[in-house]
Amino acid sequence: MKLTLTKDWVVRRAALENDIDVAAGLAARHPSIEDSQASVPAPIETRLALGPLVHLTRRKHSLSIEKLAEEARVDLAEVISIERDPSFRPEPRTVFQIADVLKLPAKSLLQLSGNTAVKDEAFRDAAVRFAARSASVERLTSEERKILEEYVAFLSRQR
Amino acid sequence: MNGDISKVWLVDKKTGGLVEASLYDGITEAHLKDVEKSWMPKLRSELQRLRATGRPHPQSSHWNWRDKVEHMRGLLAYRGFAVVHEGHTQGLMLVKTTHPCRLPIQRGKPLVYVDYLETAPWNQRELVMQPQFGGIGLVMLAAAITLSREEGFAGRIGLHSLPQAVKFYENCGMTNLGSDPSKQGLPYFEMTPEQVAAFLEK
Repeated sequence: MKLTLTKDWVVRRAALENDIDVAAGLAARHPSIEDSQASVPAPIETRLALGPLVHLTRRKHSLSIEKLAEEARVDLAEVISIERDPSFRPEPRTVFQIADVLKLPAKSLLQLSGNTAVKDEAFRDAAVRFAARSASVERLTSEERKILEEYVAFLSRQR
Repeated sequence: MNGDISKVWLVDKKTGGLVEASLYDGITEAHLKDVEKSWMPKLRSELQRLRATGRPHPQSSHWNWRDKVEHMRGLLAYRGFAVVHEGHTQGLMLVKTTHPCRLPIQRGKPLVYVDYLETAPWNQRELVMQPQFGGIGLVMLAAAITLSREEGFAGRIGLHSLPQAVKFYENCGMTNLGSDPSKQGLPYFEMTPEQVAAFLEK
């Protein structure tokens, strides 16, 4: 079957679809995450180091999260997940792009992110140590102290 | 499947301009390979990301990965269409031609039923912040209508819309017949020859 659509028709009808998803039929429904766990690697400890590494290197280069996402051409939410969520496994492409922008070795980042296997025990240990040591010991700013104290006070009022 | 390839256009969301794409009459092994190698990993990682960021992930209940994979493999056995741009499968549609109409004014007449229509995960607003290509729904609807005309069904088509897509089918002028309990409550839509004419009008 041949379809003949003019370019003009597509231009004039584009607004009908705009930013709306078009999925139809039960089979188009998304599978649930729980079912996919079996074939997804469990969180691994080297990933604890990926977030702090990306976070600190980004700040070293004076890049905002938005700027990093933009330069690496990856989703903003993906960068946030990489920095903050050790259970998040970014795609190899994303890791490559970020490594490129931050000038970090892509091969090591792929290992840290769980995309390639880590056989070296020392690599794993160094990752966990880095994750621990990278946690900030800076004095709190007065703003941070206020936010923290308020929240702790709230928590102590809970039963 | 007869292997015809038609030139179609998609909207490049980055530039807002149109890009040339190909509509394949027939889903082939190559399209399915693309689904396994590109769609599935992307879908998996996006759903994980949505869960990690605390957003409830869309339309997930009652559906598991095995069903999805098996369904995709089953596509080879039916009449299907694929939209391809830059070597990547951007959308897939499966149709059946043995369904009767439900809308009172054309009840019992045959239509082309769209059993499955989905775009690549990177084109889904529900999954990614910036979808890459739009217009796949328009192309697929036009294809289903053209097939319906070729079959002698006067362009009549029907489908069950996913909740996030309802607005699109309404915009295209289809009639919403409401929630269908036999399809987990998905709303059923039908298009009459008159609505088809308005939709395809120059």
